[in-house]
Amino acid sequence: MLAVRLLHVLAMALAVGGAVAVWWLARRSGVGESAVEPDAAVEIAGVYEAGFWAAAALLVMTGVGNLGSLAPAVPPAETDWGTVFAVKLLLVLGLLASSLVRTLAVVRCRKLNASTLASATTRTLRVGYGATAVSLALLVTLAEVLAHG
Amino acid sequence: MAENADSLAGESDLLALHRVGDDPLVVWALASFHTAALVALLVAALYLAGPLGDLLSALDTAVGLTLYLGLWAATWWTNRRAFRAIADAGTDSASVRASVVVGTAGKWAGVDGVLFLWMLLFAAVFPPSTVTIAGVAYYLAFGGVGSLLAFVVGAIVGCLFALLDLALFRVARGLGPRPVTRQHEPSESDDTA
Repeated sequence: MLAVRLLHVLAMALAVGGAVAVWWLARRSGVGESAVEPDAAVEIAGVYEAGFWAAAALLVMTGVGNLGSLAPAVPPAETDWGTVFAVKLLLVLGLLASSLVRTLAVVRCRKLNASTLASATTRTLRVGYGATAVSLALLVTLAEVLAHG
Repeated sequence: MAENADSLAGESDLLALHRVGDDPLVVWALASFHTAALVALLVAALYLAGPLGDLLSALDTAVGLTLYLGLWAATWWTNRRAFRAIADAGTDSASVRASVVVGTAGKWAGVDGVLFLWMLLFAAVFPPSTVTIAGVAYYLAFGGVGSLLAFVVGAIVGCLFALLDLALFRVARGLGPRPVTRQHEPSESDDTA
């Protein structure tokens, strides 16, 4: 059970840390003399996407494992805990769907000539990874509420 | 590799999806999305219906994790085969129709359902306490009938996910960078007008 929780925490750390890092890269892309090339930012985003989907699927798997440690006494949906849990599940589903949109947008950026579309590309990356980082931070907060009240 | 932006400007959503379908990242992302979203939806439905706690208490953690990893691997394989089948159908807009994409996805999701059923059956009887001919016959008969049911359920789920994927891909096309189109250049006739 400890290994499942460790994997859960590590997967979330990878997802949050990576999203913040790519968001920061996208902010620096095309700005100033030490700017990151848009092509490089898109390539790094592609690497993050592969890691993100591994982390996301592992988070769901280990999340169910963590829930199993409460079984059979999982608090019912009518309680405050149940409401927070339902909101968290809804947010997870929303994050998964919006992340697929983000991944497909990154793949399209890779297929297009990103250097000629620098402005639109960096805006897509900046908004996508900023929203992902905020959503993941919200999920961590909800997990904290569920674990410690 | 970057492609000519002009060639991507006028293509349909289906052709655009067809174009990125050979990218391993797309297959990996879709497989992970389908597995994680399906399990999250099942957990939500079971939780709201009530029996989630009882079901989880009856499930061994190691078996549950193994089944999840098995579903993930089977989904990745069937997604890859589905994209290959769609690619083999052709690259013109007449070949890449929504019905072809959804139908192919449904067929391979049905295969995914059958594979997962056999993983469940294997997990249920392994290690076998006693092996009898009648027991093996019952197991195979149950697996055979169950496979048909699993194929139908998997195909329905796969068609629904394919429709969702197409909708999300359309959103991604709208949000992503658009290929630059040529602006109207002023000519001499414009100057004299």
